[in-house]
Amino acid sequence: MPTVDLVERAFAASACVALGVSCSKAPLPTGDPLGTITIGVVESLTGDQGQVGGPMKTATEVAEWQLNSLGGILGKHVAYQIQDDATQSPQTQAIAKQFIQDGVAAVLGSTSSNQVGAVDQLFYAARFIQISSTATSPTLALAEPFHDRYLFLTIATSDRMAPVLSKFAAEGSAALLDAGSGGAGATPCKNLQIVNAGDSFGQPFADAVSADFQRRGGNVLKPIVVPTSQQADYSAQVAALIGATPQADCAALLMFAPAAAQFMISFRKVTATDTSRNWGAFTILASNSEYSTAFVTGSLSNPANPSSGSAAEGVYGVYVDPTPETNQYEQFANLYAAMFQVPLDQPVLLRSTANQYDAAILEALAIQAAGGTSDRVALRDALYDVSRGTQHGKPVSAHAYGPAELGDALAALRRGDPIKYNGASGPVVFDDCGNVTEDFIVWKVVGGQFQTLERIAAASVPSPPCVAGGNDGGVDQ
Amino acid sequence: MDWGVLRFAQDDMIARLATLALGASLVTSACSASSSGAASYEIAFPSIAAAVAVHLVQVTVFDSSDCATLVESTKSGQPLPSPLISGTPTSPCDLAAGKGGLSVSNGTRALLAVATQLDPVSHMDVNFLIGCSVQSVADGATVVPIPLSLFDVTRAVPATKCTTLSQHCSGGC
Repeated sequence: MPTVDLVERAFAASACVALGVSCSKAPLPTGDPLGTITIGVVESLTGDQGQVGGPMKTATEVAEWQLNSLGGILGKHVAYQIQDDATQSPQTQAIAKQFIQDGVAAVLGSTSSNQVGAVDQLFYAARFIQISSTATSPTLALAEPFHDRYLFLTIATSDRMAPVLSKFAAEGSAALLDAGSGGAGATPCKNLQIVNAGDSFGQPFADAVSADFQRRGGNVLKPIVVPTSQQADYSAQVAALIGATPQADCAALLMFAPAAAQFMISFRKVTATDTSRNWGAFTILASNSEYSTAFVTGSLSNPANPSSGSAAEGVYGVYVDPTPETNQYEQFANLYAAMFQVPLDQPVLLRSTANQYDAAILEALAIQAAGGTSDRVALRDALYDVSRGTQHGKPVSAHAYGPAELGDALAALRRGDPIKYNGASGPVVFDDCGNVTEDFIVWKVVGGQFQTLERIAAASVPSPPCVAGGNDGGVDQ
Repeated sequence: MDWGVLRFAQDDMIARLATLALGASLVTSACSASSSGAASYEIAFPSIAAAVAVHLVQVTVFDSSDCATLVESTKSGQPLPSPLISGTPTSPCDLAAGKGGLSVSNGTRALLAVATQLDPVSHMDVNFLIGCSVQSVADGATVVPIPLSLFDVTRAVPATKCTTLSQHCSGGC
């Protein structure tokens, strides 16, 4: 007689062991006759970037599940081997070396620019495609040659976000088409105080904001540089901000969320007793990194009490549009929600998941287009093709496919037809610097939540040029 | 010897259901008596909500290793090759109870699973989830997981209050 063994959630972990199956990945057959294509994924699932890296795992699993339900790629199953680098560069490097030794087909990750920068030369030397969906440093484009590169980003770089932040700083709420949506109150800023981490994330962002703000006629004060890692107290840096001359009337925080959260606690504490100016009219702007629950929860006056009030309240910031109003994003959201019960109306929880899904799908499509993984130059060229809608690098009339038509896209590639993948996060067209363009948002922390004040089309934002010769010097050939 | 597994592949879902059942097995046979054996398949739903929304699951077995074409042909309404066997459409609750067994001959087989949902207006079955997996059917130790994903990605999975399939099957939610 059949017997039924019901294993409740509380015992899920032990059940996984008992059943001998993976609990967090799409299942693969035992005795698989077709073989498996393995793609390495290195993300910061723990550590400072854990809140950002965690959703990258689930987004990858959405892509993996969908691909395998469609029969895989090249007739083989797809396995995304997910490793946690704990936001530690030595760990990222160790995982990268293992991926190279194992000969994975391609790589996704890592989470922060610092971790990506720690391994991109390893992958470049081995000619392994590496795509990060969260790293935003423009220095990553410079790390490898023009076009003949293996590092790609499916998120817009910070030098593309900088003009959005700079414009809002310079114009205040007047920069918004709909200031009444919640953005009212930000006054135009003449003297900008940049507080940035002195790392590959914060420094290029600061440079780009500084240049654009001055181009708009503003004055940038001497930057206050802070360490990458979160410090226990930022009173000295806040004191420097207060004492800066001329007097700052706005500040831009360009550092990772845990550090920015602690900075805001120090800022609120010190300015509460400072009478040198009306701090209520002082605008604070933040980077894409602060578009994270870690920023709000890390700024709580009582971490044990979510309603104790956050020092992040009222902070403005920029980010790429996390939930584009496109059919492709809606399709991805349906796929995601079919697997993970995440409220789709809370985009901060889903930040960069669409970018990660796109990265995972682009690598799979490139493998299918290249017909294998042994020729890594051909695989990289195929990545350009499926991203751009070209064939062997030449312009062609390629049909466009989104997440809903993934099976059709794979079928077209099997026939030898060119395709253009239109992603959930945006068009995901890689330029020769490995970058994409995306739409942006201006956000504000209101009542402990991230409120989108405005969506800004990428086309309306000046984009730094990607030209041959502009980044050929960073790599020993 | 024969055994099958119906499991939920999402580890942060509330329940994991494992069946040890003849009903969810692939009982294999061949011309040579010595090559007979058994395998099993597992229907892997993407979530409890998806499983609860399913009305029936039908598994069809083909003498093929080309899942991609089978899935694409099904989704586009194109004719499929003649199957070795078409399983009886079975509800997730019945699968959990051990029904849904199939008998197939040894060889490389593609298992195509299509799950339907009852349309709330017409009360007709509409395709809801689809998945396919290939396996060498010969050995009783093998398990063929069939991950199901949305048939039509433009349709969302309905929300549910059920936290386990058993709750749903017992009418408890």
